[in-house]
Amino acid sequence: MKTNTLTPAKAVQIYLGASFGTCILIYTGVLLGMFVPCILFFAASAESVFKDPYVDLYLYVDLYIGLTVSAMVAALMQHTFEKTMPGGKFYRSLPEGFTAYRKMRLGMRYLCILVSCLYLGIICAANMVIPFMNHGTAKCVSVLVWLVHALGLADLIQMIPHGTARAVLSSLVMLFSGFGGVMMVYTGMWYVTVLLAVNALWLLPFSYRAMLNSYRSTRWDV
Amino acid sequence: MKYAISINGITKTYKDFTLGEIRANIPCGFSTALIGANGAGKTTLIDILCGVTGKTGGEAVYFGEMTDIDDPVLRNRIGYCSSADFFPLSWTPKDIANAMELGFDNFDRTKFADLCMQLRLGDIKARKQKKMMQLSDGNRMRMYLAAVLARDTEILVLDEPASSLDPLARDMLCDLFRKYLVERDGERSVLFSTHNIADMENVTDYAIFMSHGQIIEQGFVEDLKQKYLLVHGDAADADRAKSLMLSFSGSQNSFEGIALAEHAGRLHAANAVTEIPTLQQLSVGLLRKAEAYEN
Repeated sequence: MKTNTLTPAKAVQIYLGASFGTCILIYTGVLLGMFVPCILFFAASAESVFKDPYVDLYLYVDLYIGLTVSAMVAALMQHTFEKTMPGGKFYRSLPEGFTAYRKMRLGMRYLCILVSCLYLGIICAANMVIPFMNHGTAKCVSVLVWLVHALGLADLIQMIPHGTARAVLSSLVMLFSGFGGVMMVYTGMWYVTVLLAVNALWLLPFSYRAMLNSYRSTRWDV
Repeated sequence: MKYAISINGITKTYKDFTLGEIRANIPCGFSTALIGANGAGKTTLIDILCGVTGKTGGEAVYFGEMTDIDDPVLRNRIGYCSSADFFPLSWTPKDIANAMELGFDNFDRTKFADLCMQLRLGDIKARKQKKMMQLSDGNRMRMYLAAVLARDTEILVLDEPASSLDPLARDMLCDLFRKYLVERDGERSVLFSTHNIADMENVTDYAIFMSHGQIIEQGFVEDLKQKYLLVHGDAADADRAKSLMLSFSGSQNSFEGIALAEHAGRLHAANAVTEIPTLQQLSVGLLRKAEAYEN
């Protein structure tokens, strides 16, 4: 029976309409689509805009990378599929009901991590061919760790009852994480990133369960 | 009598609205209309029966044996669709087919394509497809109906399926209901809600009337037409007839309303004329009384 074989990837497809693979390609494509023109613009205007092109350009590029990927993850994590929103009742009428939602949330986490990995991985690879970042690999890994940690925080934020507060706080945490990952390498405080990686080991499963319990009791079928 | 759904004291409490206790039976093999004014609790009841909204108390028994609406087997047997924005607005028919195929065991993509053609929604295999947001309200509802009818279910539970449809599409909907009911020779049922029964009257076998979160009357339409009378007459005779009537609306020249058939003799003595009411007239009469719209 299909209901026993619903994977997180299939659950994401039920909720988003497009297949998991297509979603990865689309979201990574959007990120790269935003990144490439901006890096070209930064490079073209470096001499005229920046006081110290070599230092400032690197910083802007790094921050821009953190900003784009964190904004994408924030947007994905804010899809909470409320009953009053289009599709809300369809999702709640599925045979697996809340189990499908639970699997979809897990699938969305995988999607965020995979898109971030792919995007940052492509940037790392490009940086090896045409250097535009100092310590590129370290920064990409650091941003990834901060974002993965922020996924746990975003799930905890989903437990806040007020919708606008949820959206604002979630966006701020994500953006802070995007910048934070870059700044930790700049400032040499890489140990903070290591601490976050360790913290994520318990935070991610804990926040996932807490968010699901809260969502089910307060927003799923009320 | 076999029941598709037996509703035993279902309640739902919100801050500003209470549904129930609801006690009703949805007969198997028939089309049942849930009739009531806006805000009567029809959508809440339908959503509870389909597991979209949780209940505060009570129980529903499905197909005489199943009570757990979270059971995937039961949910696969129920074809549910809401009245507005059932699918995300960015979805195309292809997205709907993909999601339905993954989500339900009994979705038939070929049947969905056929129904889309039948309901004049176009070819779902076409390269360029319209998103839900690009469709009119009526065409969106047709799409929902095509999706739910493409599943091999045992009961259709539809919230206001006719409200956004044009008269021709309503007629087509009635045909689809009849076809759905006869396909399994009495094993399938339909439950739909409406606040305007006129266009769906000829496909309604059983009616449940709701007002202010309560069921105020229910029964087979033919029985209800025996139980109640449409009463009308001259304004001069209104006072004598009014005390015998359940609902009454009068003008300077005439009056009209609903009365119990058992009062037929006394109404005739009061010079009132009685007729068998249509379901629409019965709805208006019963809901007027319940909603306290009396003149």
